[in-house]
Amino acid sequence: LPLARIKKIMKSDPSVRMISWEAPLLFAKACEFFILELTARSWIHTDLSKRRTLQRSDIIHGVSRVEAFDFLIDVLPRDEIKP
Amino acid sequence: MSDSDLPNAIVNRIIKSSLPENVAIAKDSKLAISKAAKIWIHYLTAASIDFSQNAGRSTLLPKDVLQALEELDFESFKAPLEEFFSNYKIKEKEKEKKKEEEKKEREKENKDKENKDKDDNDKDDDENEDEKNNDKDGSDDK
Repeated sequence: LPLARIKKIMKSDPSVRMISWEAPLLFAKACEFFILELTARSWIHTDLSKRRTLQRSDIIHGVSRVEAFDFLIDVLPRDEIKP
Repeated sequence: MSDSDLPNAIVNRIIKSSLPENVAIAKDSKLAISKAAKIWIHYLTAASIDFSQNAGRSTLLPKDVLQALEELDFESFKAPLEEFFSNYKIKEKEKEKKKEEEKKEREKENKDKENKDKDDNDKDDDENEDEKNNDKDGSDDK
């Protein structure tokens, strides 16, 4: 992931002042891990539902099952999923 | 959100690498994951800043990031991240070393070329001297 872009996103937080040169690099890699993790968790639900296309509902399920993903609940709310 | 998003091509490539070959992903899902990743950066940044501020620093350092990961329950990211980073530093060192060596090689080549040119010029000068002397003899007409 492009470091300049990562840095820009980081700096949009007003409480950010200076970042060491390593930070955007670490963030880029951590972000990659995050995408891998979120995708994998979502895929579990796709697979359980015997589908081959990952849908938004799968992502919502993935988010609801992992406590560490709670910060995404507003963006991917559980109530979007029809029972 | 007015600030920049992550590039779709790269995000999609990462998503694909996490899925088996025969799995497709709906377009809105790709966007949802990309958006989630951006929020993740904000989230991790805020947590990291907390640690740097608590330590009385105005610069966000790697250790702040690592502590933040642990704080946010992403401890499983720590080890691979540290490994990635130490490998990165090793590769950069090797690159630097290679650059230095190539630079020295080039400088040596240039020096050799200079010396060769100098010798050639000396030879040419001698030849020109001879020609000039010949001309002097023969071309006085205007």
